[in-house]
Amino acid sequence: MSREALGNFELMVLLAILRVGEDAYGVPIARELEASSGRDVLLGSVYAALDRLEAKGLVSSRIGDPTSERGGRAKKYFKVTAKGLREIRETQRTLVRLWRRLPELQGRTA
Amino acid sequence: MNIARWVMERCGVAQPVVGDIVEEAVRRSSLWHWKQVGWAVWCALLSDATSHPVILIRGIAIGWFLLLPISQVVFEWFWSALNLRWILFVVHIGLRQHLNPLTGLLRILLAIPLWIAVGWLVRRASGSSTPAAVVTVIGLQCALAVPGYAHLVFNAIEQPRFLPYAIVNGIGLIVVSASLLTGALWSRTYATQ
Repeated sequence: MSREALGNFELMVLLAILRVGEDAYGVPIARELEASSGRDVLLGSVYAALDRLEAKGLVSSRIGDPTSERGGRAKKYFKVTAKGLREIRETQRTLVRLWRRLPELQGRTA
Repeated sequence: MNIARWVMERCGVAQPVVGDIVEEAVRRSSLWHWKQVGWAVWCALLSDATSHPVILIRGIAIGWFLLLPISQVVFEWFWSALNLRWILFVVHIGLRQHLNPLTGLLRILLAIPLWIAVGWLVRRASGSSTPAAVVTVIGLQCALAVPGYAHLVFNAIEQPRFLPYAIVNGIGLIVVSASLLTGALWSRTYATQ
């Protein structure tokens, strides 16, 4: 495989950004991940994944306006790029191909 | 809350991450808050160390090979001027039998400003946005101290009269680490995005 593989958490973060939509910054992304996985999510890990995704060109970011409830700190909004969308589709196709005809994953015994 | 914010900012945690934690902390527990703060600081240090290895190595080299030996020499010079007066004072107040542990404690206390200065200088000299170099120096120092300290603890278990030495050495290691870190956190804060 020539392209860099997408990690499990990175894929989850990309999907969470798509689900949140326009207002995708750290807090709603983490909430979306928590709601989907049922586990606590560490914001530091979310931002570390976002930094990696941005370095790969899979997401782009813009800085919003500072707000008082954040102690005057600005939000950083993220958006999945066209390359990111292609990568998600390709990963989905790969996973679906691997998933097919696996009786262990369909509740049957091997 | 303010302490957490201060620590994050001084550790070079990016402003949007700090903002997100501050925003979300209002509706979460303090355990959640400190877990997020600790992890955000760790991620910032790790990211800085892996993305700027040259800066990290420069900081460690400055701290380990330059400032720590110099500070030791300065301290020993200072201590030699004070040693005799201190012994006379301890004998005068009737605590002669506790001279060695008391001397150890005094030396630790006197060295605190020096360690703080070393931590401050290492971070300034490394030019890093986080105290990653100082944390690595502390880690190295603790790792190197482990064999000697384990020996002291085993001695104290076998012969309780060595217990004060083990305690004083343990306090010393904690105080040195905390002082170096305080100096590093005290150093200049860089604006991060």
